[in-house]
Amino acid sequence: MIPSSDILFSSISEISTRLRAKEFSAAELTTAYCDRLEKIGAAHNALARPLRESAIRKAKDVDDDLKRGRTRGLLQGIPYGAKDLLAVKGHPTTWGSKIFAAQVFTEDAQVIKRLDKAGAILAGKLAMVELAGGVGYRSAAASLTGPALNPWDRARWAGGSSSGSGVAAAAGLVAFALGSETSGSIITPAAYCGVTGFRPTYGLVSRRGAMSLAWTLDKIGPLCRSAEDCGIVLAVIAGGDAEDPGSARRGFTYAPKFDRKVSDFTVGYAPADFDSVAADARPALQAALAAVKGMGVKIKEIKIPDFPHGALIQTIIGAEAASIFEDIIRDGRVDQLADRNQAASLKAALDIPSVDYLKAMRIRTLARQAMREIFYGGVDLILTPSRGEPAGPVTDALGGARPAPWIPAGNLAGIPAISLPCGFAGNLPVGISFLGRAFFDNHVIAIGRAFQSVTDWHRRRPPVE
Amino acid sequence: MDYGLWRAAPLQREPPNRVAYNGGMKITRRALGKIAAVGSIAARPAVAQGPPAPDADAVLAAARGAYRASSQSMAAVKLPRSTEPATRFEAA
Repeated sequence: MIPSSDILFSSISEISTRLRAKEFSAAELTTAYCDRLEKIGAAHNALARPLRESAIRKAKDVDDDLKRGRTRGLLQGIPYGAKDLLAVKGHPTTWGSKIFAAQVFTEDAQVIKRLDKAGAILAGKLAMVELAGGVGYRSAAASLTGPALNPWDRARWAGGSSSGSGVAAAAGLVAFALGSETSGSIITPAAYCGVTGFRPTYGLVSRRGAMSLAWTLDKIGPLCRSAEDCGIVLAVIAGGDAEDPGSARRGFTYAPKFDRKVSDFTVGYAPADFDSVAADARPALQAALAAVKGMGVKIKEIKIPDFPHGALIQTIIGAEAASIFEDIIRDGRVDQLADRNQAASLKAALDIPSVDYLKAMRIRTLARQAMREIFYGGVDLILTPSRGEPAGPVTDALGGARPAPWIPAGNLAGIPAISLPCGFAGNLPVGISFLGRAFFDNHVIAIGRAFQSVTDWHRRRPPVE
Repeated sequence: MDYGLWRAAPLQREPPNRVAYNGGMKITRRALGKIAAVGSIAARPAVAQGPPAPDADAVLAAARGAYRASSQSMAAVKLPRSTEPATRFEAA
């Protein structure tokens, strides 16, 4: 049986249950997702490379395994997409840029290996902003695949830098997607595309085989259609890796039955965050705040610590990216980037004084301490709008977006965050975020599940059929 | 440089891998042949961005100006000695 679109938009658990009940085979499921990915994904500039042939081959292996009773967990036979910054052996890994269009790795990224071992099926590589966009891009077209179009309105941008991952999860092109975040690259496309995006604690997920943009900030995480799905995927991709110098060498177990009661949580929020958003996004965000208060959590007003988070993140990403990409800056290949602002920022970053980088890292220590003090002060989770506005026109220069100060603050502190769809501004999704303490990723997923048990925004589907 | 917060006792170490982190790039002739033969959605030229920016020198000057502005916003923060990055050595 060919799975219906209802099934393709179902949760991972639901798809897995039906797969095991033999309502359809893994090969049929994979074919159905590949068809959508290649048609709808390509039409939204969300697809970097289809991997149909290898995906269907793997799916047939899964079908054989299931016939023989060899089961390997919920992700067995589940098709997914990966941001094109993750190495997949034998296929180009472009990092979203013409400069690396012919780059081929001989080994899979660690997260791809882990998913492969769990039986998940890689259906395609997903579009991204070139070089993960951390260094001053100003155009949605700053990508080898062109501007990623928002599935809710093709005249709007999908967000970045995990653009294709946001589109693919939102439009039911895969069951889940992998993205990465240095500062906002999961949270932003999740908010703009109306999906659930999870940024893990720094060091929880191995980055081996992933493009490095800023080694003290890079994280890999899932973009899914629910918080529960994020937990299921995180449990597979997380874990120590001696080959990633930033690895925390910790594991992660997703065990929702052991979650704390929601009424035990104290949620902190800064009222100013909700006052400063765009007028069209405000009703949805205020309603989400009311929904959270109605969940029975304790509420506490907080303020974001007073540090120049934007300046810190710009200096740290600039300096680390200039070190990583020094060769392409010095030999002139950087001029092949589609966005000349990003090329100029990389060149300029080569001249960031060492004293500025050191100062930024030292202030970062203070900023992290201040963040820990919020949590030690009795707050379990921080609630804030994911972005201050819905997605902007795809043709507009970027840079006019309202500040979302908890994005740099949270990334500098290495703490986990989840973006949840919480309503609409016109026809465009709006997202709300929870941030948690480092290595309390389960709390963040638990509050996300609780929010999605009293709202249904995460079940809405964009008009892409 | 030691960032303290994320240090933890080593748990189960995975088997060492010969491919270095963020490394292992190798373009084989066979792989290049595949790319050339199959073509790629990714190989489409990027859509041109909106209106052209000012000349390259002005864009570069603006980028340098942005880093200078960041430097200035950090200038006022007083740094206690506790923020000095630690360097620790272990017996070999």
